[in-house]
Amino acid sequence: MKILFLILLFTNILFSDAVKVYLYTPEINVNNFKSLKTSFDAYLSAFGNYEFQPFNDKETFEKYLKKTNSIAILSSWHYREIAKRYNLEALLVAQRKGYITDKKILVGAKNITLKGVVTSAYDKEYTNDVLSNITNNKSKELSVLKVPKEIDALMSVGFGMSRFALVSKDSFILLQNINPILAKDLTIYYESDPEYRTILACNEIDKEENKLVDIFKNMGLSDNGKNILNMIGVDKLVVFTMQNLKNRGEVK
Amino acid sequence: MKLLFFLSLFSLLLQGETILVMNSNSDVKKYTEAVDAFSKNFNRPFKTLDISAMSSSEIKQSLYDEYPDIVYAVGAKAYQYANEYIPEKKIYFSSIVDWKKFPLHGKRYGVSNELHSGMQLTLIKTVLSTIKTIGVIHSKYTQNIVDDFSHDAKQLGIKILPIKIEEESLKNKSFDDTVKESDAMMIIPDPLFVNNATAIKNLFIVSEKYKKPVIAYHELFIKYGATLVISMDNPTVGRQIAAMIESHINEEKIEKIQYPAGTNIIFNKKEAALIGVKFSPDISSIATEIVE
Repeated sequence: MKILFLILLFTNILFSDAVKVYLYTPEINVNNFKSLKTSFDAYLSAFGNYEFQPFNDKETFEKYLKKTNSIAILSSWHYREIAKRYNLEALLVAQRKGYITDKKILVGAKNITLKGVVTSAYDKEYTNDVLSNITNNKSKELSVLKVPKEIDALMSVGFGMSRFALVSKDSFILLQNINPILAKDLTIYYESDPEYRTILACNEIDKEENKLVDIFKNMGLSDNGKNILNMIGVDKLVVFTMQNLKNRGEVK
Repeated sequence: MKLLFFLSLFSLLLQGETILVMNSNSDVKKYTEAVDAFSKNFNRPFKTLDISAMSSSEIKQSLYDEYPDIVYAVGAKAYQYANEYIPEKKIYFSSIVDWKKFPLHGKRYGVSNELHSGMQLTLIKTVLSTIKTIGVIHSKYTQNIVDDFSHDAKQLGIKILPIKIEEESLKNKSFDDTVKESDAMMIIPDPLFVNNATAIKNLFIVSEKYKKPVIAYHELFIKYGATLVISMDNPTVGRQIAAMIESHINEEKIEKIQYPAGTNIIFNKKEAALIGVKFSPDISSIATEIVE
């Protein structure tokens, strides 16, 4: 009887694997994986056997990606790097405050040289890459201090714990609104080109995976779904159109 | 022979300064979080020493044996021993409550255990934008903290209402008048107040009666009904010390004693809904943890 039960359990695990969506983005500092996974899983389970799997490092995330039937939520920076390797195609793009792109800026106190500690809420590799790009390789004398949130990075400059902060322009605008006196002493040294926000991408997917993409497309339409998406800094996910690509000159 | 001498000298220079991380007690979570983050972010060799089970003479002997150029002392106990036995060395410290009471002569650097008041107020305004008046309970021991809050609050258009407490009258203290006048109440790490469970309960009862949020500095206050908890992020402290030592080795100028650069926010959504306080629609992306 016991053996029969174990066989049934094993068969169940083997054949009822949930359809999974994987998340990794260097721009989101996930402090509470348990809460993030629980919230997404609870939302998705109402629609079927779906599971959300967040990762906090790039290598492990990539290990789970396959060349077919993979759904991934990732940064546009990472997407550019691995899209060809995993045959990924961007289907949805994150929207926040009405925009599907944002800019990264390097902020510091006025009239200082480009050296010293730069606070950033992003992954170190990503931070160094963005710094090198926006400063035209003049970032060699900057060292990165990772902090939990973009507003921490900005306040660290304002209150003397770092010389510079690498943040999104949205966060700087937020600080200007909340603490204009502190923000007044800061200046933007470098600004990136607009980049797409987080992307939901897939390769060749089956019917169930297609349904999961639709669930994400509609997630921002409900209050509950929007609250959960907000945990990864997203208001809603909108369809990634050919027009998006044309605007960036990526399609002829 | 001469060449050999210069080669030896060169190899000694390459070895650089020796570094020792002294942990007061590796069973204390906040110490271990700081040490772990330091270890992951510091790219030079260093040794670690947990002194929790060591006698004074063993600690003294270890410090004399190692005789490091730089010590990172985590917690008050580690700092006191390093400061006593090898005072001539560079000592960096973190995770010390009320670090100002310790001698800090010579090459002493560190990250304080308290967040900058301006940082806390900016975060309060980010989460609870309608708050204009905050009542802060304090005693003579924390007068300086309240003064800092009052100064920084002006920048943000917030008014601080200080409520001074004394040991004799604390037990029967009624917070009614101040709570009525304030949009929110704030608990700071005041030794008189936080060691009096009755006074803490009284404050939460009165705040709930007038539907006012309580803002605190430690997650323990969530169980009493705090709406917002703002605390420092321990791993960031470890990374910050690593960055400070690195900056010094590279001869860059830094602040000797810094405020913590990272914060944790716990938002009690359940309590906020109960008292009907308005909060940021972006709370899910701001908070480290949300209590539903």
